[in-house]
Amino acid sequence: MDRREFLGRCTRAGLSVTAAGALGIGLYDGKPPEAFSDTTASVKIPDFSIAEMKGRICIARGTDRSATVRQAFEALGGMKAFVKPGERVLLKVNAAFASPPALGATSHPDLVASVVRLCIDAGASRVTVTDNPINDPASCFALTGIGAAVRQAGADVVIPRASLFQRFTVDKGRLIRDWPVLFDPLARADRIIGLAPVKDHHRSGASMTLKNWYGLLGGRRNIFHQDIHTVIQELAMMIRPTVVVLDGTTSMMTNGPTGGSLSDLKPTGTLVVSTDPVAADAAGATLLDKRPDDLPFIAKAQDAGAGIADYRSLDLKEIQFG
Amino acid sequence: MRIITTRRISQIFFFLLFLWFCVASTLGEQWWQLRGWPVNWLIQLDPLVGLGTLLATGTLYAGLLWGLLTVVLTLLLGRFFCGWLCPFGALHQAVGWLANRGRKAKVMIAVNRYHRGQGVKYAILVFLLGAAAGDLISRLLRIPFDAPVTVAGIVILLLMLCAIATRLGKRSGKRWMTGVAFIAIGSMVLGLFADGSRLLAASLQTGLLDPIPLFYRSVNLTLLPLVDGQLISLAPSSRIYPGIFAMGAFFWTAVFLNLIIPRFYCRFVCPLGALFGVLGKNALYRVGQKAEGCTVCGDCDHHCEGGCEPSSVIHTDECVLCMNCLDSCRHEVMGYRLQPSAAGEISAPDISKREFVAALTSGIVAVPLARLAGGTGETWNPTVIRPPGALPEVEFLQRCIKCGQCMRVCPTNVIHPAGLQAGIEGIWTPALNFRMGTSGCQRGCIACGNLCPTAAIRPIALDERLGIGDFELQGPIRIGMAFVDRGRCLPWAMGRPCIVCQENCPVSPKAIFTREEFRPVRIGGQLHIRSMDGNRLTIDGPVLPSGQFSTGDYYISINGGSDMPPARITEAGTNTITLEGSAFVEPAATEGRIDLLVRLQLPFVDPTRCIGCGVCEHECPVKTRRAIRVTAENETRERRHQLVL
Amino acid sequence: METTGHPRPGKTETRLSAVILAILVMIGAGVYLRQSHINPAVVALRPEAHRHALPPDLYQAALIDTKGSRIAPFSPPERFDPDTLYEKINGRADLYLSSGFVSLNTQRFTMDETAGNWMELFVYDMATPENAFSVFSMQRREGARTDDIVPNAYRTENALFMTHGNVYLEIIGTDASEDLQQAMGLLAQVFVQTHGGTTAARVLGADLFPEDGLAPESLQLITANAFGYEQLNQIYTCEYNIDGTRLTAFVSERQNTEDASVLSVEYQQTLLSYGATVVDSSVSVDSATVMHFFDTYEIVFSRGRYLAGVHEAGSLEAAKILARRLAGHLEVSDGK
Repeated sequence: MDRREFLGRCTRAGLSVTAAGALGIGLYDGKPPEAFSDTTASVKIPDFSIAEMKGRICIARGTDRSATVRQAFEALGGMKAFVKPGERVLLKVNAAFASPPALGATSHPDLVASVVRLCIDAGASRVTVTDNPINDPASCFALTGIGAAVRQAGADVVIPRASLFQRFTVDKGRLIRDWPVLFDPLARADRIIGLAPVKDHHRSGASMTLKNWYGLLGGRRNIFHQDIHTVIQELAMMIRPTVVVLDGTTSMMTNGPTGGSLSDLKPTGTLVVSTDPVAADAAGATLLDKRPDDLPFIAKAQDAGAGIADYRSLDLKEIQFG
Repeated sequence: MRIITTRRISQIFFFLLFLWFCVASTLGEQWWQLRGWPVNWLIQLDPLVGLGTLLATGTLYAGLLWGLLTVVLTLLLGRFFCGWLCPFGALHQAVGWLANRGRKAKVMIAVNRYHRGQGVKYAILVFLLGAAAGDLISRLLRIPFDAPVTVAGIVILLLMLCAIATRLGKRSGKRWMTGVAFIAIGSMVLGLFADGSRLLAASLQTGLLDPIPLFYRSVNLTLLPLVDGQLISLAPSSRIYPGIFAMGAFFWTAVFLNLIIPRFYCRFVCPLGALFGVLGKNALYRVGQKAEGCTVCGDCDHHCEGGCEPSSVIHTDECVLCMNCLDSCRHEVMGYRLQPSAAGEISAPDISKREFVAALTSGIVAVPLARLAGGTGETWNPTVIRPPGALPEVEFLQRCIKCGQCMRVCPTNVIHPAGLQAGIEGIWTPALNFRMGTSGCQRGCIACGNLCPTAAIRPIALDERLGIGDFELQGPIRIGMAFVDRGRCLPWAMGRPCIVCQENCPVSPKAIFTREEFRPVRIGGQLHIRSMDGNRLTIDGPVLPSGQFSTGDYYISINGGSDMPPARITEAGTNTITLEGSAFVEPAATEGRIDLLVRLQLPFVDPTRCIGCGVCEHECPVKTRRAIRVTAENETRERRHQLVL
Repeated sequence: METTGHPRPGKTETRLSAVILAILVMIGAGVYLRQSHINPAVVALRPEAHRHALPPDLYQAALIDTKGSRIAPFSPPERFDPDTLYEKINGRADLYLSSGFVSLNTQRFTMDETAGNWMELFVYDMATPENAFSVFSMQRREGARTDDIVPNAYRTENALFMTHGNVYLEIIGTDASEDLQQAMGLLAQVFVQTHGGTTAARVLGADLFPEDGLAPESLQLITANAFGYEQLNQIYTCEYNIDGTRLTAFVSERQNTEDASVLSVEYQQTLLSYGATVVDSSVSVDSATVMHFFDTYEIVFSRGRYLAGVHEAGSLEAAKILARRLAGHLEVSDGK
């Protein structure tokens, strides 16, 4: 018998047994799998707020969005106070519906473009604009005019797609658990600015800067409409923005959030820039002829520590323009 | 004692053990019932189950470690499992022997000659393992290539491999480099166009052909129900498994193919045999000839079970260690030794590189292709109700081997093998059908999960099932939710009193509740009071069918009944009505209009209470398409299927 | 180890066979030993696996301690809350739920488990004595006989009903045997002793009504929505027999004099709006209004903190007599 071959065979058999044993015992798992594989632990959304800018709010009266928003930021110390040179800025707009800007269901392209320019002027290295709308994303950015306006102003539009979402759990949250969130743009930003129009909302009473974060959720998010105020509260816990811009130049008074008729709109000539989204929404409620108490999500967001509803107690500046 | 006698004893032993396990998979504590019999042991010994789940999930679950023993023994001894242990193999051998007794030696020698088609089973194995490996590959590809250390490590490793390969001179280093470059470029190009999330997916399909799960489900689901009855009674009523025909036909085809070629399934199809063939390639002991004495008489081939041609160059990977050649050799040439056969041997599985790559690629590609239908995502089929404790669908499909143990043990016979409703991957996986069986899915039962050998259905505790104790916060396990079909429901659609579903709802507080409604009865005319004497009314109008309205569910109201609640009828003759108590205090005016009403309790389902057990569906008196039906909506295993907050 | 083929088995072959057979025997033994290690699926079938679904204290403690007697509990106590009450008593739940029901505890007792006769105890916690008395009085069975153990208890052929403090209690037997009746009495006695004694069992509202003409055991308390009028709550009623006419008197104690008179006027207005007509007939009771409604007479008045009146009187004269007696009685009560 060939001794060399026999030894070779023995070695191979020994190696195989060792390898199989190592693999089998190494990967052995005596416990059954968990009911849910929790993949969410790794994903964290950073806090985008700036500590020293806490509690600043400016209520600006005016009808020209571009000029008013510029003045409002000026009153809070200029965009430079929020965006440092080289930082990447994400604008979360409301582009929920494929409807023209005149119907007021979405962020106005003029306003978005102005904020983009302010950021670029402040030295932002990259400005991106995103939203996960209700209608087809591409059509929404095209028909609202936001897509063209921001590209012209020098920003990129991120159209959401499946791979940009990550499963995320709001710490101490009840509803947003292991839920797909439009995470990629958030992970690639140093600052986030929320831009929302003032709108009536059938379910929550009003859709303003807090409800605007709904557009970062993916999946079957409509299920949350069963408990809309709590989900807005959790959204307020999920995103701590650098600053929010609430556009009440015209407000959608009825048939929100879609509207659809010019008669739903009312000129209210107000624009709020605030580092406190709860205060911004409380101020915006008055434009819809509502009190902040009428909107339970405001108190809930305040309870969660997302801001202060009594905006008059904050560092409030009121300016009149044009 | 002759070694083949021992082999026969061993085969009979394991075959009887297998049959015993099938019988004993009956839920209960009698000696012939489940108790603690290790009914999954043969499945656990099957290393293909372990390897498949290992590839698909990255872990080797509990009892599947037994497979390691089989692997180690095979590495040392060869395919002993096929010839000595496998009960399916034993069946084939027995049938093959019975069927081919009368055939001439020459014919049998020809039939037992190695056939090129025996390589097919390796292709099948590679295909099935490829299908299970998608997730693993995708995990490997997720290595952070942008980290310089990782890249450097991979490059160095590849270079080392190339060097070794070149030194051994078996494959040219150039070819290796080309292969590596090809894969690198391919993955880069793919990465440019796709995010990869849909390109790869794992699905465990080994159970379709793996002989142990196959034999378990065939015997448990297609044979036992036929013989269960007078002498042995395993179930209180005859078991039903819809859609079982294909399963049975497949089994009998495999059995009858022995008439053409003995052990046809083992030689040509069996992926487990193929796995053993690969593992036993380098076995220390092997069957073969010694150097001198062979007369090429062919006796060894005559009874060869593996079709491995011991008479000439033996195919070691095909040898099932039946030892028939040893026994029939008159020249004492055949032996089981450390040395290779003197006549030469072929130990490498008969599968070319082309075939290997083709089988592997098609396995890897088949699963994402099947997933394009969206069955595990947006277009999930809510009529597929998985047993309590089942994993989320994607993970479930990575573990279920379709062995049918859950269906066998289910005390109410509500778990059935799915057809195509669970997608092509989900064929013969467990799904609940509440029209069948003796009741719905019992709240106090955790049998299926505790019998599942791969934890595709988790072995839950009663507390978890009921949502008590440590599981108070997360609540009970819901497998679905009941929906009332108001177009078929007796009270809703036909105004007939019925609250069978509410009465049978086992959840406390009941998930089915009722709301009262008085609805006019269609009697073809208007009733009027002729006279009233105490609580007895004589009426004018259409003749009432005698007795029908005396059930206590019928009421009358007078003159529209706006100021008084309806009064209950205790007895209704053709033109008299007796009311309960003194319902109307002041005598109603004669000529008063009477409306005959039926009191209905309309069933509603409380989605926060319903656990989808299906008892309501099972009991619903609308027997064909039930008026209350459970679908998998709101099941707890998939958060995405949540219906209410 | 080397095995080769022979016409007759060699030593190696036999030894190997012996080893293998020994292994098979070991496997068989192992399998046999394993079967006594009961699968959790089978354990879950055992009755004790389901016991922990009940809180342990409830399971152990009988509702009424019958140690030392020949009565023994023979089912675990069960508890029902407002959500689950109808599982136990179905349609009757509404009456309890609208009268402040808190919980129901039930348990079966028997003297001899094999005899097949037993009784089921129902203990309804109704939050207040008024609520308990109300459900007791409103379901008083026909043909009941007053029990002598405690006030506010009566029996039927196979059952005992009692109100005691916040609790309304029923004991329903499986048959009408004397044996069961005795056992029921014993259970009720033990219950009363362990729940504050007979002092807790005062008769509510009985002193509100004059005794003359009073039908025995006719006192009822309607906690809400009396006579179909939403504002009327906590109304005591009694049946009277005056000059051969059956009629109902009612009294309710209000917060203060003003409340009583306001409610009196409101109720009068409501009756009038439903089509009652004022009968011009003096009752010689201050603030009383006599009304004719369908075929019966209604008198409504207030006396101090009390709202009172006569309901559905068939005869005007009898109604007036009763109203006068009632007013007189209440004046005395109010003065106390």
